[in-house]
Amino acid sequence: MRFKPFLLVAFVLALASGGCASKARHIATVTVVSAKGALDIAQDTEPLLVCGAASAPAAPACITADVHKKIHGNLADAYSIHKQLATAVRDWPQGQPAPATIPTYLAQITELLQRVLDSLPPGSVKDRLTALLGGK
Amino acid sequence: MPTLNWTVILQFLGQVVPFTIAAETEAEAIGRAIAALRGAGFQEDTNALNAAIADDERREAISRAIADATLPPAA
Repeated sequence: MRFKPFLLVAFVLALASGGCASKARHIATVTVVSAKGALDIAQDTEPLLVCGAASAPAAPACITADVHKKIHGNLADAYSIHKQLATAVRDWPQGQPAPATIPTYLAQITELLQRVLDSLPPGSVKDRLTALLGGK
Repeated sequence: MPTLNWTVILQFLGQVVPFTIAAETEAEAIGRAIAALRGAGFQEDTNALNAAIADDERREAISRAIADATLPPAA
């Protein structure tokens, strides 16, 4: 089950479209906000699935404590990279080409989100969250 | 190259795959935030990015605290 890198593809296609730099920065901003949305959903929803939570499914479909820590390690790294991504887009000078770091950051965030999804116990909960985040 | 309509995409995901109310509600909020960016200028984008950066710091700290917490010894 692979997380579709739709954010990365969308951004690369937008840049390749030959649009002006200001429009590309706007598209990059929307991409940044979308990527953050996916991270926020993962961070806010995951605690609901931790074993012992009132909303959590019964074991083994719930998230164990050690997996919970592992997931948040990945999320912490993802947020750190996302902050660098947002900073790069914010500081992108008007009229200049896109910073070369943007696709790299997006790919790293995509990979970390995929690790989060891969950490979830198999079952309908994992399938639903994967679909909600645009995974496959 | 048309801009992808993230609002529609997120709403579609929420309708096709019902999950928790929290996740759907959040997806709708994200869709509204993205829609609000439509037509935004340079400064509006900058403001949105500054807000994202500040929130990223807060959320990174939350996840880092969980990741670094010591698990109780197994019974």
